[in-house]
Amino acid sequence: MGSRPIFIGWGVLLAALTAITWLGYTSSLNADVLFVQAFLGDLWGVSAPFRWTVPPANGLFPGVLIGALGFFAGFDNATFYLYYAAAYSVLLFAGAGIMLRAQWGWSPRRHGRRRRWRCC
Amino acid sequence: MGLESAQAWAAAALAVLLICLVDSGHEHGALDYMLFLPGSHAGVVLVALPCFVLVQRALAGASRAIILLFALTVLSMFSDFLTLVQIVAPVAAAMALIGWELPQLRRRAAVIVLAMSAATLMGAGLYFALGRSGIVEEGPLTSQLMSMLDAAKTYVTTLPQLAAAIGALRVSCAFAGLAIGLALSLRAILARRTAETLPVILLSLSASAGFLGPIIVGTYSDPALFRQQLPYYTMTFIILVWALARILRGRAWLLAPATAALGLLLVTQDVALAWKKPFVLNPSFVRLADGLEQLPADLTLALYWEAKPIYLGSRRRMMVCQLAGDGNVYNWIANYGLCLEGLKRWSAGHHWLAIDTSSSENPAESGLQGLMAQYGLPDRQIDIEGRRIMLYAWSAKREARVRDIICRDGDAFRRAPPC
Repeated sequence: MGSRPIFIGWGVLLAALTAITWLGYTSSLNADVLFVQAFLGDLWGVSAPFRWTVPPANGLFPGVLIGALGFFAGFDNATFYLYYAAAYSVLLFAGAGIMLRAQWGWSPRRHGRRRRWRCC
Repeated sequence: MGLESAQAWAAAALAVLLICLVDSGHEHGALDYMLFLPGSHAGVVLVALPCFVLVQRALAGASRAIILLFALTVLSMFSDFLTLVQIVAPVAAAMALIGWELPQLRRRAAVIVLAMSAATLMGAGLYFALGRSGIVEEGPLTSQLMSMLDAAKTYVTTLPQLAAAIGALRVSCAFAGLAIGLALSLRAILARRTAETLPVILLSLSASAGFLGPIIVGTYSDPALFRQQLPYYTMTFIILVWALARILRGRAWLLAPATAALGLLLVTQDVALAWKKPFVLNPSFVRLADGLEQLPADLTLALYWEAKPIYLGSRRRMMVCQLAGDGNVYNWIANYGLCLEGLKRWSAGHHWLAIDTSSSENPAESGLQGLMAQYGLPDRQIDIEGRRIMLYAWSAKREARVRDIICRDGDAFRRAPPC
């Protein structure tokens, strides 16, 4: 089997697991957690001036960007956070996977110093 | 060094299960901090992993990788200054090692470090420029700093508290992963095999920077600040599963069924709970918002922990202005525009001004005295969902008082009508 179906299979499984686990133990969302949803909601559709004070670690990239994709896809309230959990776990999975796959095709000791340096 | 595709993806899935889901039922499950709080530095970890792969590709001569690395670093730095500590510094240290070991790669290593340094400066520039936009303001950068020794002492003495909150298993795995990563990195450096071990070295350096950063800088004053150490609680799990896969070697195929079994175990543990929960957010805040809308309250004032839940509970229909305990407007992770619009509505609608006096997460913050001192005695007091709400009818004098409080200078936003 190629690499892509394996990646997709694990990704879907992890997204579902994370979303279900989150739903299972989260009883309410506090003000800190609601930051992304409130920020995006105000940016897009509220009838009040947009004058936001964001935290110094504002999380605009990639956190709010990930949230924006879900928000504009129409996820709201609980579905928004289910989407967020799924998206984050899949991105973390992709990052961890490519790190674990990273390998050097060339070693200076084995192949001499003039060969082209290859990786990943 | 690397794993085959099938094994790598199974190992990555195992790492994510360990990072996100094991011990997720604790008071502050990893999900809360790592997934839902972009302001808790969660994004730096997401950016670090592709950055480390791009560094390897750039070393291999891919010029496009440098451009991508530059762009990711700019955006990440603009979003979170911990990028400097947890991504840029580890890459710079690893490139110094590469340059020392392999002279033929010195130029490429230097280009990578230069590109990332320039990206760091540009990201910081964007960050400070944002504050001048008049639309979004950044909160203050530094919190209270303590000495390195005091921060280290705080870390050691509060470690049991942290382990109880996020799970002893998570804390132990992070420690074991860092120890293994550092041992492997040291062995590779001494054997002059830095290049072959670069992925593990980058992960270990980032985890170390995550772990030591808040202690060296002196920001670690509370166990909740483990959120500044997220690479320590994520990269180390990737190192652990990598080590596990290497130990299994020919039997690494076992990773896939083992990961699937762990996933199944976790999901059966949580699925029963999931079906019992109402599929709405914060039901009591939704009911509170409904009650306030029926009054109707043109402007609602609430403390930090209440303002956003009420606002979102009303589906963003109500104007909820965030207050500090002393009754002044508290522009911290909030939209000041809601205060302005709410004041305008109260001024035109002449309905109620409502003040929620409770603080659900931190009762000590409830500042009834401070609120009374600022706004005077209410006309009515009602209880909704166990919360004391003070109601003020409109009068020209009161409106002038509230306008004075809301329009007071104290942040970078230009005052607009009705101020």
